[in-house]
Order: sequence, then C-alpha cells, then structure tokens
Amino acid sequence: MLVSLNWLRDYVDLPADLDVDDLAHRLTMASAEVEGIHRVGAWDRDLVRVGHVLAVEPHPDADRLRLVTVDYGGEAPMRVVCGAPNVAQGQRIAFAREGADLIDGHTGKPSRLKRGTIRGVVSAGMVLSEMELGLSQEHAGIIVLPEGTPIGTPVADVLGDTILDVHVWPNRADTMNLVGIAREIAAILGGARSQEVAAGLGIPGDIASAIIGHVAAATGLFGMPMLREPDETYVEAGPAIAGALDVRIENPTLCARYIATLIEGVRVGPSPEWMQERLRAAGMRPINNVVDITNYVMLELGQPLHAFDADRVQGAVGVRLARPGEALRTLDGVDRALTPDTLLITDDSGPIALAGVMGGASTEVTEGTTRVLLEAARFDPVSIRRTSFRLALRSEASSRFERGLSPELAAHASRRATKLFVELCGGTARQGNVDAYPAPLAPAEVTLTRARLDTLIGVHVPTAEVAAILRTLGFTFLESDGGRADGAFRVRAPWWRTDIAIPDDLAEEVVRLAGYDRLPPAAIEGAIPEWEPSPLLDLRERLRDALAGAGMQEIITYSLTTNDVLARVIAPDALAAIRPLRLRNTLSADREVMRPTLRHAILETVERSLRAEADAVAIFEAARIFLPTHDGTLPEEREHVTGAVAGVEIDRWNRPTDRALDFFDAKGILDAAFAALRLSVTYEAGTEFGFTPNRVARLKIGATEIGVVGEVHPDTLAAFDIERPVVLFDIDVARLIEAAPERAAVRTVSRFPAVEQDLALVLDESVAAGAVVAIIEGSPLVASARVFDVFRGGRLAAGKKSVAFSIRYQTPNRTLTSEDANKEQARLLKRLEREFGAELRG
Amino acid sequence: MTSTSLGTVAAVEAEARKRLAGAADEAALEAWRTGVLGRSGTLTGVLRGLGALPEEERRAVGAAANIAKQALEAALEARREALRRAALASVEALDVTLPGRPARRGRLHPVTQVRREILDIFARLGFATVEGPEVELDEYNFGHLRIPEHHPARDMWDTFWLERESPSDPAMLLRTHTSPMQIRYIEAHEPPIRIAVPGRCYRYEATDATHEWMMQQVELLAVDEGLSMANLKGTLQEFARQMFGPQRRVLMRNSYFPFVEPGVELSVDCFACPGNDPACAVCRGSGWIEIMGAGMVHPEILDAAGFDSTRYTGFAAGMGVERIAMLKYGITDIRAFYSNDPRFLAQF
Repeated sequence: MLVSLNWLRDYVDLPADLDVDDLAHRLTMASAEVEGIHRVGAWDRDLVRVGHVLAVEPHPDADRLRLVTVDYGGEAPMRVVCGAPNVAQGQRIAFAREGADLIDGHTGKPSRLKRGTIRGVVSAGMVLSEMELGLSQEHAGIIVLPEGTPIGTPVADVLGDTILDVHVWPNRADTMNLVGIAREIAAILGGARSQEVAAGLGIPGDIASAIIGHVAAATGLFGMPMLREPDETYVEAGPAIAGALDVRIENPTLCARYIATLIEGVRVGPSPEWMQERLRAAGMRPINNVVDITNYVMLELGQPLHAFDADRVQGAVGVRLARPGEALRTLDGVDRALTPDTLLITDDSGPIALAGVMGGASTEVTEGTTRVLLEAARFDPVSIRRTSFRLALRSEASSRFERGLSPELAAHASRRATKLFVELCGGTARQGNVDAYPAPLAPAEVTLTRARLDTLIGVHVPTAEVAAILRTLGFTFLESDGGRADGAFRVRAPWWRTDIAIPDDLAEEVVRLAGYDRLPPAAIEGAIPEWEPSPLLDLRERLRDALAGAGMQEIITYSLTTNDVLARVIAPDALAAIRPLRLRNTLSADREVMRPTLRHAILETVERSLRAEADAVAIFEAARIFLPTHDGTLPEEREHVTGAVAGVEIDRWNRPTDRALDFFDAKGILDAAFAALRLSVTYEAGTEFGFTPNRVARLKIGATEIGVVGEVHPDTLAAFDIERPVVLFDIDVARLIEAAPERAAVRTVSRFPAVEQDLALVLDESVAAGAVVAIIEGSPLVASARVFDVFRGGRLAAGKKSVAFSIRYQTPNRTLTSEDANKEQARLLKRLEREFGAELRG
Repeated sequence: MTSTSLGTVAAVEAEARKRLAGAADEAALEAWRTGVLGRSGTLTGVLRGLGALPEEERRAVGAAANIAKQALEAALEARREALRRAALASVEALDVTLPGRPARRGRLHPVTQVRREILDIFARLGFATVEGPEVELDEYNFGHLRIPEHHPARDMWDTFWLERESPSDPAMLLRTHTSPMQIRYIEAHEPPIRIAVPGRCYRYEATDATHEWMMQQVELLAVDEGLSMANLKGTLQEFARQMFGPQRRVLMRNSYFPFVEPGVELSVDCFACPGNDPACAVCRGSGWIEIMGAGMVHPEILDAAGFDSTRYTGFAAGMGVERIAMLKYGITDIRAFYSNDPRFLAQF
C-alpha cells in the first residue's frame, strides 16, 4: 500500500523536521513493514517556485505559442514562451528558471533548463507540466496550482511528497488505509515524544513518562501528535430516505451490515485536482468524481464502497447468494455465469453487482447519472475471497474485505463519502440512511493478567505504561482500576481492531509499542527434554559423510520431475504400478510429479557435469522418494542415497587417462563407505531395469537387499544424452537400517603368528570369486582370504578362468604350522572341487 | 713370507688406511675389507705369520696386530658412515612445489553443511533434530496452524497442490514450511519440548535470485513452563553468535504468522559492513539482515494438543537454510545451489 506523507498529515501532525527513514524504521519495528520510500520533488528551492500568471499574449511568430508573463516572487516578472493550451491569466503555476534540473518533456530524460530563443523571442524560464516535474507522463498542459498558493513558495513545498510503500499484515485490516497508518504513527511517535517530554521536565522513570504520554496523546499537549479523524459532517438537505429505499439481507452471515445512502442532484465530472493527485499518489487512476470519491474514502478509511446509479436500480436492494442459472454482466463488460456460492447485490430485476468484488454494468454510474445510491457494507471475508479468486478479480476492494472489516467502519465511510458527494459533486443528501444491521457485533472485551503478560514477554513493563500503551491505541478500560493495581487489564478493543481476541493479542500490543529491544535475551532454564534416538537420520547422515569421505560430491536436486523422465529409469509396469503423485498446479512442464526414485536426477546431473567438461564425475544425493499409497493417505517417503561414477581415471598430474571409471571404481567407493559405517555388504549378480545385463549387483546385508549398483544400460544413457559409461548405485536407507547390526562385532586380535599361503584355482566363468572367498573364510583356521589375480586365456580352456587367492591362516589360541595350513587348504580344495568344480591350477 | 715384525704391522695398517681413504662406494669398501681383513687379507697375513716368531716377539706383535685390526674395523665403519652421510647430502632434491598425487576428494553440498551447522548449534542448546513429511495434509500445513481455507494469510505461502485421486481424499500439498511438524510433534509428545526440524519445503512461485520453488528450512519449537519472548530472543541471539560471530546482536520487529502470538521477524546486525554502508550487498545499508520469522506459539495450538496453555508457553521460529548459506558465503543467487554445477560445488 502506498502512503503519501502529505496526505497522512491530514490525520496526524508530523514534525516539520521529520526524519522519514526513522519514521519508516519505527513503523516497521512496531506496526507494518515499510518496503520502500519514494521521494517525489527534490526540485531546487530557488529555481523552481510558485508563479502567478500576470499576462498571456500571443506569440508574434507562432500561432500555437504564447508569451506568458510570470511573477515568481523575484525582483521583476519574467516573460517566457509557453505552448500549453491551458495557460491563463491569473493562474498559480509551477515556474522554473534557467539552471533548474527537470525532466525533458519530449525525451523523458533528465535535463537542465537552458535559456533559449523560440521563434525570435528569448525565454529564460518555463511554466511546468507534470512531466517536467517528474510527477507523471502528462505533458499536454501545465499544472494549475490551487488559487491563493503563495507566490514564490518553493514548488517542492507544494507538490513535493514522500510515499511510503507499506506492507500490511493479513490480520490488520485496520491498517490498510491512511487513517489506520496515522493511528499507528500517532501511537508510536506519542510514546517516543512522551519520553522526551518527561526527560525535559525532569520527571524520572517509565511510569511518569508513560502517564505523560497518555495524557498528552489524548490532549495534544507538549506537541504530542494528535490524531484527527476525517470530517464526516454534512447537511442532509434532501427529504427523508425512509420509503425511498429498501434493503433486504437474506444471508446475515455473509453480509453483517449494509448501509445505503441516497445523494441526489449529483453532477458527474472530473474530481478536483487535489483528489486526483492523491489517488495517483496511491497508485489509482482517477475516473470521475463519483468513482474517485468511493476510491478516495477506501484509501482513507479502508472501507470499499460502491456507487450505483440509483435511477437504474429497480425496487428494493437485496443481498443474497446466486440462484441456479443466474448471470451478470460486470462493469468490465464480461458476462459472468454465477456459481451458487457467489454473494450478490440484487434489485427487482435480478443481480446488479458481485458483492464486494465488482459492480454490474446495468447500474453503473455514467456521465448522465444524477442520483447515487452509495453502498457501504460488511461482507464475509471468506465469501469475497472465494469469489474474487474464482473470477480472478482481485482488487483493492477485495483485498480489504477479505481481511475482515469492522461493521462499524461502514457507518463512518458511508458518512464520509456522502459528505464528499455533497461538497464535490453538488449533491443533496437524503436525510438518514438505510442501515441493515441485523445482529450488531460488540467489540472484543479481553482481560490480560499481569502474570500472563510477564510470562509471555519475559520483561516487566510497568502497569502505568501498559495502560498508557493500550489507551494510546484506542483500547478502553472496563474497570476504573485498570491502570492502577498490578491486577488484570480488562479492556474493550477499539471498533477498528478486528484482530484482537485473546489476552496474548494484548501482550503483543504492549510489547510492540514498548519496544522489542526491552526484552533481555535469556537462556532457557528448564531441563533438556528426554532424548529420543533417531537411527534412520543418524545412519543417513553417516552415509553422507562416508560417501563424501570416499571421494564423492554431494548434490541436491529437485523433488519434482515428469513421468516421461521417470520412464527412462523405471520399467513401464513398475511405473504404472507406482503412479507417482501428480501436481494439480505446476510452474513448468518439467515438474509435474513427485519423484519415486532419485536415479533420473543423478543421471541428469552426470550429463550436465560431463557437459561442463568434468573429466571424472562421482556424485550422490541423499533425499526422499515418494511412493503413493493410493488410499487417500500420505505417501510413503523413503530415504534413499543414490549416486554415480562416470568419466575417466585421473593420473598423477591430474590429467584424464584413457581408463574409463568402471563398476569396480564404484564398488571401491561403496566398500570404503560401508567400511566406514562398519557394515558388511555383499554383492550378488542380479538384474535391474535401466542397467546393462550381467553388469549389475544387488547389495545385500545378510539376506536383506539394501540396494543395487551396476553399469547403466546404453539405451538409458542415450535417453539422457550421456555418451560415456556410467555406474549407478541406489541404496534404500530404511532397508539398510533394518539389516545393519546394531553393533558390529569386534574380534580379538590374535597374538599368534599367521601363515600366508596362495591358492590358484581354475574355475568356470560362472563361478563368482566372492562365493569361493566366502567358503574359504568360513574355515575356522582362516582369518581372511582375498583375490589377487584373475587370469583368462593362455592354456586355459574357453569358459574357464584362473583366480588366485591369498589366504591368511591364523587362530586366536595357538601357533599354526605350515602343515596345519596345508592340511586345511587340502580340505578346502576338496570342498571347492565338490561345490564349484574348482581345480588346482598346475 | 717375509718375517713379521712390529714394523710390518704398522706398515700394513698405514697402507690399509691409505686405501680405505680412497674407497668411494660400498663395493670398494667390501673389496678393501676382503683385501685387508679377509681370509687372505694383508692384516690376516700378518696374524698368520705370528706363529713363526719367538714367544716374546709373537706376543708383542700379536697384540699390536689385534689393536690394528680393531682400529681398521672401526675405520671401515667410520668410512662407511661417512660415505652414507655424503650420499644422503647429495640425494636428488625434491621440487616441493610440484603438485601432490591427487587423492579422491569428496564434499557435502553447501546447503547440507550449513544445515548441519544450524542443527549442531541448536543441539548444543538442547534441541533434538526430528523430521516430518514433505507431502502434507492441508490441515497440518494450514488448518491446524490457524490458517483456514480462504484466510488471507494463505497468500504468504503459495502452494503446490496434489491431484486428488478420489473426491473423498483429503487435500494434500507439498509443505510450504516446516511448521506442520510443530503440530505433528506436539500431538505425540508432552512438554518439555525442544526440537529443530530441518527439511525441504516447496513454494509455488517463480524463481529469481532470491527465490527458489524448493528450499530447506529449519523450524524450532520449544514448549515448557514459563517460556517467554526473552527466551526466544536469548536462544536466537545465541544461534546468531555461534553462526555469524560472537559480537552479533539481534533485532526483533513486529510481524504476523497466524500460528504465533506475538509474532516477530528477527534480524542480525550486519557482519559485512559497519552497518551503514549503502553499497553493502548484504544489508543494503540498513545495518540489519533478516534471518527468520518467530513468535510465541499461539495458545489455541497448545490447547488443541491437550496442553494447558495457561501453564505451558512455547516459542517457534523458522529460517531458510539457503538464506543463511548465502549470507555466510556471500552468495548472491540462490539458484546456484540446485544447479549442481561441479565448479560451484567444488568450492565448499
């Protein structure tokens, strides 16, 4: 909301030497966020002044130019050339002399005014338009200032302004207007001023200053900012309204109050310049005096109003929900079908307005309108919001209604607008109004105890100061001792504070005006709550650390993707069975479903990294996948850790080598990570969609499968535009934690020497080396066994391979001899022959 | 064989010492040893010749020869040691400025690092880390937090909604903040409560340098007897100091969130400039940097959980991890985080 300080001064006195930045800061601290300060009119105070047009003569050599003699308060009047059609003798105008920094009326760029000769006449000054002053794009005519504006006054004092861009909280309907902001400023500055006054009078302490603040704020003493409510008085010169108008509210829950006023003899035309200027300053476009007055009062008081052409309203005004099949052509010329939850204003002919959202075309105020029916109503915020959203007709009016206005406000705004109709449109107000207010609402009455206040804010604000703050804000005390004893503060909220409901709301009023800087930072004193373990999160974080420790870069990717992308990494039947969660509203076509895997995101990032010319890529992400339940409950969110290795090995000089990173690079990383977690994971050949057949392993802990690792299928790579081999792994952290032993066993280190022996076996290609190692390590005499060579070809038959194992024999309780080892090796060999057809390599 | 005498011993020793001085490597030393002390070495020859000498002379020459042998053995060791030292002194010099052999280096994402830093600080203050669902029910993301449908405060959280599979399904959405976990946690626990809730959140809004549609938040919730805004301030000031430096101050200002009352916005004083530099990219001359929203838990929320709000009070706060990370590392575009450019990530 744009707040003009010039306009604001109508309602609250601001010091002449006001520090705008300070005001904005204080408003932000206590009331509403000032998001920007726009200063209008930093014109030179000497060179740009109010002038008086003494004479207008034709230009000797140009039909459209005239010679204008201006008294600008200098030693002698000055004659300048002027092209504006609206310049006339006797006007007060804005006048600039050479050297003034202005906006060029033709180029729109800043320029300095120079002496010029226009068609033979020397001109050393200029009568200004709004454009030249940077006020608007209006360049056709000059600015005409109000009669009586003192000649020679700096124009900056007349037209200059400061506009605050204020963000109002959704619960503070009362601050979405000039008077509301003025109330806040009066309360804020009043509190600060009272401190100064107390100090000046030598009165010590918060209590004294608070009392002075309160008294002064109420009386305007000591230069305290006095709040001035807008004038609502007018003469009701017309006949009584009774009998001329009838209002029927069918749904009092949706329309708590409806006030209709009748103004007759209205002449529709432009509104006065000062009103147009204020509307523009607030970001609204002037239309005509009738519409402008409704907008002006809305900006001033916060109550949206609607003016009907009373002659086009047939019979009684009604407020009701739409009926099936009803339609309305709105002011913007659009025919709108009405849903049954649309609140309408009707007359005997049917709908004439969307309540609180937009008027109808049939009753629109036009140039020929002479009788205005003014509506000031309190509509249900939810109804207004729903309708304005559905029709995409959000407006200044709807944004005020939807915050929940006080029904009391309608009465004030109705009177204020009627006064302006009488004064500015030549109208005659009918006596009285029609005020349909079936169930008057009482302002909230709230009790805040001293104990609650102290507990909640954690600092003692003296009772007198609490009372002064609440009074300054318009709260009234229900008990006369309210401000005296350390008891409870029983107050009635001012009618405009629709947000006040509970004691804590009052506590906020106290603390925001007392100042949050009064709160002492304090440590929590209570006991630390009982600790609950979170094994899954702990394991996930340890896995992150382990993978980073093993050389992988963590990435974070978006949780949304598309089914098309998912189809590259999930088999069609599996994807159909999952049916990923789909968004109802998307920002872009590539984010439509919540991902049930991380694999695509890893491959997308691999592709981008390779494209960014990374030689080697080793990345992983730890995030959730989303598996829908399809039964109306929340999806299952499973923690996965997924990663990939791609590119080539890096040599001693950090240069890429020819060796592509392969399955065993990935396995090496995983083994290092699992070792760091003290997890014993085995690899078992398997198959998986999106992976190259025969090049995939299932990761297992005991019998539990915890993930998969393998070479990505060439077709899948092609779908991601990846031209190099990629090894991908995917770990289900929940499965990992199910399978992981709570505490891995620790073996005692044997103090007896070990015997090392090598064993080379000829095996069928189909025999996994890991299976042989498992059998060898199953021996009670074997401490460990490892593969150290694999050999194919030579004298070996096709389909055979030679695998060499290094075996370490050791027991915890005695020294083994090489004979012991030989005996055990023979036994193992027999078993391996039997199980795998293994032969000792000759 | 010439007869052996004391003079012979001295001559052999002198000759051996002379040759030893010329031996320049291990092979020469070995040759010398064989030639002098070996089975047919010169000194060994002297010892062998002792038997031909008369008793008295044999004793004298024998003693001299043994002394000479020990001396030469020591000289050999000394020479060997001298050669070893000389060799070490002239060993080829390393160019210590050459690059090291590359070790595999991994890193955590900067958002993970900062999130952990935040959680570690709060863990020290007794806040346990818990997590909640990213896909939420409307009632937890909004309703139970006092943001009913059609409340204007909903404008503060533009929302991704999920398609309903059946009209009877409850409305589901991608959580817009971590605050729903406040509700889920208090439904299942009793005071005292102190939790920090990290997690991804989603906003249906266009992306620019300071807005991402996906981000991470950390939510704080404390509920106990006697908790006040001063405790909120103290806790968050302690956080600000541990995160941004020991001298940091915090500033509270009025704000509004439907689930707290009073509600505040919390800023920390600028650590990038003296607080008044209009060109400061961090605070823009205001001297203060907004880092989170906070407030006292609305009593209706405590009452709904079955806590007695006249006995228990609580505070809550929520901050954006990316925002803290941007401040900490001087990053000006939030979009850098999730573009995962290896050249960006490699800096952390």
